[in-house]
Amino acid sequence: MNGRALLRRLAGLLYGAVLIAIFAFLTAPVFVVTTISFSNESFISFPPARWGWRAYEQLLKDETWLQPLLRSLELATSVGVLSTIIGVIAVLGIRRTRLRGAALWEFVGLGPLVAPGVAYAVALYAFYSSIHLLGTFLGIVLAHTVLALPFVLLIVGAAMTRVPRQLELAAQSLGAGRIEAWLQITLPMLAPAVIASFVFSFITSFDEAVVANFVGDIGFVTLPVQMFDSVRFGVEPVIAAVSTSLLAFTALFGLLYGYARGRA
Amino acid sequence: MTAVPALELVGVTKRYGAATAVDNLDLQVAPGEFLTLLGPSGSGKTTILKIIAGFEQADRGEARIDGRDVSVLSPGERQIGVVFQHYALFPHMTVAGNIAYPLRRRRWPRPRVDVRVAEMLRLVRLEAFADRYPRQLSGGQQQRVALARALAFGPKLLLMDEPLGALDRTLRLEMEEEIRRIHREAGASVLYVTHDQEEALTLSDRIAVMRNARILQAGRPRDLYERPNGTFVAQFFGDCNLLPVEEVLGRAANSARVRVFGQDVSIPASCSPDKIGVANAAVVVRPQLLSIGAIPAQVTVPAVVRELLYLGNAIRLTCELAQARTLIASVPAQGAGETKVGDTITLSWDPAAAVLVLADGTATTVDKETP
Repeated sequence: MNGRALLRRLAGLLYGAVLIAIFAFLTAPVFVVTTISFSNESFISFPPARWGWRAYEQLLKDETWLQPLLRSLELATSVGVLSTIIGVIAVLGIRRTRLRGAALWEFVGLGPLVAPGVAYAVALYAFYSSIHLLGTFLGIVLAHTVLALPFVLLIVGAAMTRVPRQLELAAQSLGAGRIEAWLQITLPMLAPAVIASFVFSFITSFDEAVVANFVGDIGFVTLPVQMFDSVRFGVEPVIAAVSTSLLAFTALFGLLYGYARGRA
Repeated sequence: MTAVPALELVGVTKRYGAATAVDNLDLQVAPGEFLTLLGPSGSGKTTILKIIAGFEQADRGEARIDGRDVSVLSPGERQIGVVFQHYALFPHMTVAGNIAYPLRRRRWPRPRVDVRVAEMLRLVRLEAFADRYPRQLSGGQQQRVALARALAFGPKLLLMDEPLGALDRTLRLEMEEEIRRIHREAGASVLYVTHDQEEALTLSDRIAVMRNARILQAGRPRDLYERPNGTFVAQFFGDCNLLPVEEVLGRAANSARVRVFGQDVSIPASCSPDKIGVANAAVVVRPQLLSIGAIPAQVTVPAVVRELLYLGNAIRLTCELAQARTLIASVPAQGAGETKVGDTITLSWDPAAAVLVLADGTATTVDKETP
């Protein structure tokens, strides 16, 4: 074996090692928290001395966790539906009408993507307190919808470029009104993007803690907020169970998104 | 024409910013007629189609269908079939679903829709493809589905925007025949847009040649080919020799006596002979009008063969004349005998079959404002 081949071999090994290290660094926390969630002890230890479902039983029995979980699911679903509907209509308006200042509207819609989250949360706190939306379901749905909207605009906007405008014109020439053409031709072709938008909006809302902490106040505590609060007073295995559930939900929706993309 | 035109455009004008896409245009399509708008890209033909279909609003003028102004109607209310260059089939619907779409919009009862869809599939010979999706069809088949869909609800007027533009040559020729047959059987008036002059000649009852937002000449294909009203139209329909007029010797009702190649001949004019002058006119001689050998009573000119193309049914000769001018001749293959490159031959052409036209080629200024 000559020197160059040896060098190449070493480089290959190094490359493999780095890849494995990165992968391990990314997945190890997930592995650890999942393992801990199946601990039957009352404090966190890794690996657990006793295994069992205690943490999950506690999660489902304990009102402190079950309530925020259901609340977060309800919230994320509402945000997913609302931002997807608004986003699709916005994209149609921006791309398929003679709306003045379309580019400006799109820019405004994408704003939350770059706005600093904490600052926005503080601003919302001040604003909501003056219009009595603090701690309400509606208030937090609206705030999260704003945060999720950029994803819908980007995903549906990208998909829209692949729907030729000619199809809408064809539908109109065949007797459809403009809205009919959108509903019957454009929307079905956007279906995968619409599903993906829902998934992204859902996840955006489901694990959002900063804005939820501010505008939810004490009246509306979501799951991520409850998790923050709980680690402040001490770490129990139940928090690992909550984290694992959250991961499982997100992964499930990620798969759904992958399926939708595969079909697109 | 006593019947109300199927389509009538009166003074239609459309501007995009400073550019005029359609300039004060008048046009009539008779019931059952196949009229082609022919012109280079950017001449405004597609804009006209869009205005008629209702996808664009004219700035001035009216589009009348069966005598009725349709400017206020939405595209769907105009009852016009439209066939697009890229077919515009709905990818998430089957062939049958696509053809049924306009019928569903009109709330036809289900059994009637089924009968009509079967009828249209038979018309375009795609009976076996009813349940396929557009992506499973070839380009030619997709175009036939588009035709069937546009004709399904029985429109009296069909607009076609470069429908064969995306097909290869063999398929195009096949589809041309198909379109002619379907036009005959469906009986709708057709306004067809293309930049391909062969397509226009084969398909149309009448052709309107467009350039710079205006119609230069409209007429039967044969008239346009044989009696173009200007050098642009003459050159648009394939090869042609444009010979300069050396002197105008006299003018009659429909012809002028001019000197060409030093010979005094009388040549029919496509415009009023009074307008014919030395600087602004040319004699159009199609290559197939030329023959080898001196023929009495014809214009003859000596020439040297510089290039010779064997085309099977004909031979195309590029000949050099005195003063480095060239003439293109197309002669029957058997008539060319043993002609070789480098030979000096005599070319003859019948002045009565040539035509005097006004020069409107590149020399014409583009934007003349009409008051």
